[in-house]
Amino acid sequence: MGDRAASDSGGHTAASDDSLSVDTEFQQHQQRWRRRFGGRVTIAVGFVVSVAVAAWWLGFDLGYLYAHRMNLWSVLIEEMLVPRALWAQLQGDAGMLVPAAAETIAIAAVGTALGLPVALVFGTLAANTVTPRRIHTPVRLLLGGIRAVPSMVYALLFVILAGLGPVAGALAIAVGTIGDLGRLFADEMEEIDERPVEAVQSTGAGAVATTAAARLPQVTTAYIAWTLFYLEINARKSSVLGIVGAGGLGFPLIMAFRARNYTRVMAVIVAILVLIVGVETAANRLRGRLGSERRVDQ
Amino acid sequence: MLDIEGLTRHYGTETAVDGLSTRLARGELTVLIGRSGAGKTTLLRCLNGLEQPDTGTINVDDAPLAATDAALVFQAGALVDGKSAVENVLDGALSREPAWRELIGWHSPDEKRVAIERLHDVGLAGYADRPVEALSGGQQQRVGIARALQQQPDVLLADEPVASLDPETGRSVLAVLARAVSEHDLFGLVSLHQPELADTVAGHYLGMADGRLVLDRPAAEVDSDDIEGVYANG
Repeated sequence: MGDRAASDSGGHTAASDDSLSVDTEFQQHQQRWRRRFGGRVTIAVGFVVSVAVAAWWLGFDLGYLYAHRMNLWSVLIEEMLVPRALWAQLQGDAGMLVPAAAETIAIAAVGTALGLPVALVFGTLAANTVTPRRIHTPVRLLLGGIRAVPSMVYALLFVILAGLGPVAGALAIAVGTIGDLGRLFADEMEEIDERPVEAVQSTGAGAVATTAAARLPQVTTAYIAWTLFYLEINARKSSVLGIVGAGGLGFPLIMAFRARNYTRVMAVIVAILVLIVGVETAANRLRGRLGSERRVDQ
Repeated sequence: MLDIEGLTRHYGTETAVDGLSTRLARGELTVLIGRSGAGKTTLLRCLNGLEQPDTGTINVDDAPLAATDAALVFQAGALVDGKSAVENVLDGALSREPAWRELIGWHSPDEKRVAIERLHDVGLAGYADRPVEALSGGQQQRVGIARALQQQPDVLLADEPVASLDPETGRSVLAVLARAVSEHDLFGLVSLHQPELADTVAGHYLGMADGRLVLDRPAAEVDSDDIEGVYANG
C-alpha cells in the first residue's frame, strides 16, 4: 500500500507518514477520542450540576410547586380560560382595549422611528472598519452603557421628564432601540466586503462619500430586516411599559392583576397576542416585499 | 454489468438527458466528457439517486441500483469544516449507523478502524485527527474519496472531482480514484473537463452532447481527435 501511495502522491502526501500502520493510528485516534469525549462528558455534567446548585440556591422546590398546583389551576380554569366569560369581558372592555392597543403600537412605532436615525449614526461610528480606534471604542462603550439599563428603568426615568403616559414610553423605547440597533448595525457594517470600499477610496472619495457609496449599499437589506425585527420587539416591550405608568396595554394589565380580576387579565393578554401577531405578520409581509423587490432589480 | 437503459430526464421543457443507454464494466474507470450543459451532472445525479429519471432504468447485475449502493465524490470535496478527516470519512457510513452515534460522537471502533484504513488507502496516513479545513485542496478531495468508499458502494461516481485543482494534483487524485475502482472492483464513472488528465487511468470513454451519447468506446480505441469531436459537437 505504502509504495503505491507514494508513487502517485504528486507531492501532496509529503507529510503523510507511510510507516504509520492503521493499527497504530487507530490506537492514537482512540486515545485522543477518549480524552476528548471524557472532557465533553465532564463539561456536560459540570454544567448540569451548576444549574442544579443555582436553582437550589434560588429556592426551587418542586414539591412546593406541586403541592400548590391547584392555586394556578383554579385561576386558569375558573377565571381565565372560560370562553363565554372571556368573550363577554372582551366585548365589555373593547372600548378600553382597542385604544390601549393602538397606543401600544404608536409607542413602538414612534420609539423605533426616533431611535433609528441615532442608531444609524452611532452604528456607523462604532464600526471598526469605518472609524479609527479613538472614535469607535468610546462609541461602542456608550452603546454598551445604554444597553445595560433595561427599558423599564428608562420608562421610570422618563415619567419624571414627560409625566405619566405614552410619551415617556416612546422615549424609553427610543433609547433602547439606539443601544440595541446601534450595536447590530455596527456588527453588520464590520462584516462587509472591503474590496469595493477600497475601489471607491482609490478614486479619491472622502470618508463620508465612501461610506455612502460603498458601505451603506452593502448593508441596506440587513438594516431593513433588523429594523423591522426591532419594531416587533418594541411592540412586545411597549405592551408592558404601562406597568410603570408609561402608557399602552400594560396599564390595564397591571390594574386587572391588582384587582385580582383574572378574566380581565386574560382579555388584556388576548389583546396583546392579537397585537403582536398582527405586527409580526405585517413586518413579514413588508420584509417579503422588500426582499422580492431587491431580487427583481439585481 | 451496470446497465443504463433509455434514461431520460427533463427540466420543464429542457431535456437534460435524452434516451441514454450504455453499459459500464466492473473494475474499470469510465471517463465522462462533454461541454457544460451536455447533461453529465444530471446523468451522475440520476445514477446517485439524488434525482429520479423521468423514464429509463438503471440496473446492476439485473437488479435496480439502490441509492446507498452509489457513492458520489463532489467537486472540491464538499467536506464538513470543523470536523476532522476521520469524522468526515465516517459520514459515509451514516446510512447503516443509528443516528444517536453521530449525535453524541460515539462511533463503533470497527467503523473507525475501517475509516482510518480508507484514509491510508488514499495516501493520507497520519491525517485522521487533522481538521479538514487545514488540508490542501488535493488532500480534501482524497478525504472526499475516502468518505465515498466508507459508504461501501457498488458504483463510485465523481462530478468534476479535480476542477479546482492544479493539473499535477488533479492527476494524483484521479489515480487514487482509479485505484479505488480496481481494488474494490467497483463501477467507476468520473466526469471531467480536462480529459487529458485522465489519459493514463481511463479504461473507457463516454462523450455527451445535448443529452445524448456521441462517444462510447474503450480508451484504447479513443484518440485526441475523438475527444475534440465531443467538444465540437453541439
